[in-house]
Amino acid sequence: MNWFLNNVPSQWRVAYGVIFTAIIMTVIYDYGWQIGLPLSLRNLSGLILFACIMFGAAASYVGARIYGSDYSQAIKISVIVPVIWHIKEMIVAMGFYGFGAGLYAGLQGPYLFYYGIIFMITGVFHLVYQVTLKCQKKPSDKLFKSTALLFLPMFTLGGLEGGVMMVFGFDLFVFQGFLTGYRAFIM
Amino acid sequence: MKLLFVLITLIVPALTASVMAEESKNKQPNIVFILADDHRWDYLSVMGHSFIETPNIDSIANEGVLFENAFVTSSLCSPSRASFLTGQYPQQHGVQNNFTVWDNKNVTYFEHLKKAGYSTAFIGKWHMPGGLPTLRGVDQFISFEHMGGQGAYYGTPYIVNGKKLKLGESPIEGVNINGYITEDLTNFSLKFIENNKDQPFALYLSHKALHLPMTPPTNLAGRYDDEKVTLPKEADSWLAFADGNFKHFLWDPLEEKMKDYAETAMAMDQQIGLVLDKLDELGLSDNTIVVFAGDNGYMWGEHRLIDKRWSYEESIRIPFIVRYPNGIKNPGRRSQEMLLNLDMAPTFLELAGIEVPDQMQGKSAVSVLEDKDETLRDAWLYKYYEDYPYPVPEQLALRTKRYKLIDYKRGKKDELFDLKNDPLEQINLIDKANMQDIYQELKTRLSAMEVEVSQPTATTK
Repeated sequence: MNWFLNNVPSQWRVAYGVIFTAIIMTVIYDYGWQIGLPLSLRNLSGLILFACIMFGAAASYVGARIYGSDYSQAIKISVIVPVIWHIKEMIVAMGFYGFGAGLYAGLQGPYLFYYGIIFMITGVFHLVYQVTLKCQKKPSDKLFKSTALLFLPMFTLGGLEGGVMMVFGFDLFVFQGFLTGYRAFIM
Repeated sequence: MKLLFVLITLIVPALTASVMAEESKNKQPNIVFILADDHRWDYLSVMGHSFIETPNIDSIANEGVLFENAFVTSSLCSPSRASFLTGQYPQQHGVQNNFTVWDNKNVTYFEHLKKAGYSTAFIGKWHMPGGLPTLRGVDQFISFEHMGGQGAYYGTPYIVNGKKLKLGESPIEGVNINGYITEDLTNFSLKFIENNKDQPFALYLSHKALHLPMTPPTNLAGRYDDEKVTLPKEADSWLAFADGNFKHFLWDPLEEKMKDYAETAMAMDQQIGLVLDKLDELGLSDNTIVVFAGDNGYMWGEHRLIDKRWSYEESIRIPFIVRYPNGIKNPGRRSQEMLLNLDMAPTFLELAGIEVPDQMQGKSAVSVLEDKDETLRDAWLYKYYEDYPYPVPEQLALRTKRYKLIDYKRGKKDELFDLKNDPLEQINLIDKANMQDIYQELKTRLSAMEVEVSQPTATTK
């Protein structure tokens, strides 16, 4: 614990805590059945792991802000958890399909929307944090602009997917567009 | 005089019945093939499932032959469906995954039946890459391209013999669209049977059920909510969200989705009951071959996996049940013979008295139906082709009665299982010193079999 406090910059501590928790939960979740851990415990570890993947970015963001990061540095710190999970997914795909196809698999719609969702969740956390600062009459960011920026990726992705689907009947990110790219550039 | 009258009243009906029965035996049999999507072999009450109710499929088994070791040679919708139709391995018919297109040069069993005078219909899910084909030998082809050929449980517009209909428009006059796809497809089939009752017919009823999203009709939704589902020991409730499984979009705890699946299966069973009733009502049951099968298995958490594709037992095993009162000896039996999806086409042809063409690689199972002491095969080849981007490696497997060798192209260590001592395939024996002779023998056989089934001489003309 002392090592952690002495060596990890305070802004990064929540992010590192989330990563550490996610690793422990992964081990329990994926391998717990082999040593006979009860289903309830494995289900709980799955829930915590899922929470780390979905809410880890937002928690890391708020942690970084509390410990003094500005808006852009906190966003950089927040993406470490999703990026690690995303790289893990690509490594799995590379094992089955090779380097290029595995790398391209990382561009599949579910992963893009995942980033959209986690930025949106971070936006909600950011909003709550900023409102709290305002209530405490502490210095805060420009509320609308800083929050809107975090919602922008999801709106852009959703708008493109929905718009192209409505106009051309073509699913851009999830399967059709993604596989068109695969056939054109990877196969 | 009185005695004569009594004799006539007794003898004439008996003679008539006997002549009719003999005629029925000599007449070409009707064929009703009912294909379910993603139906595990053990999700039937006749297989001892703890709560699912499938009395109609059970009755097919109780009056016919249930193949307890039926398999597909590639556990994915499109290749498996093409094998049922052509009697060939995917290496021959060319539909290798959900992207390789169906070749219209492929010859299906329908073509042979048509030449032999059958009335034919394909009703339901086609779902092979390349859209709906020119299906030679089929008089009535009712299908759909909605949702990339998957169809939807509610709200699927149909296509009849190439003509696209509006949503709610019926492909058959006098049949109303109900809206739930399993019921609609059944109603079309009932009408086809009625219209063709006086001539030999072959019906292929291909359900969307039980494929994702596994939606039961409103009257059955929630029927199994209170049932207890026991997961495989390696599985957990959140598995549908874990690793690559989230790409199947199940969005439910595993137990809940398994209940939906069972309810959807029950709904299909009820509709199958209507088909059986119609055959009874028209007096066609004795001379009709009814086959119920699944296009592949489905893993519900075994090996921490959901879906099919893999070479594991839960993925490659299918339900396969045949009823044919005029042709099955000792009905109510269970066969342990290893039957493959590509055996169905030659079986139908032999039962219809048609010579089985050379390009069909499957084996007729008529000897099993006649309860003869013959073995269909002692080993067979499985192949799953790359289906990007699903996180499943390409794999080739040899399945014997006792062992299974799985040869992964990359990304996973090869596996060898002793199915007798380890039916759940938990212990990989590939590195065990005492298994090396068996491993080498299986490996050699697997390579030879891959060459054999891929021989260009066996390709369709």
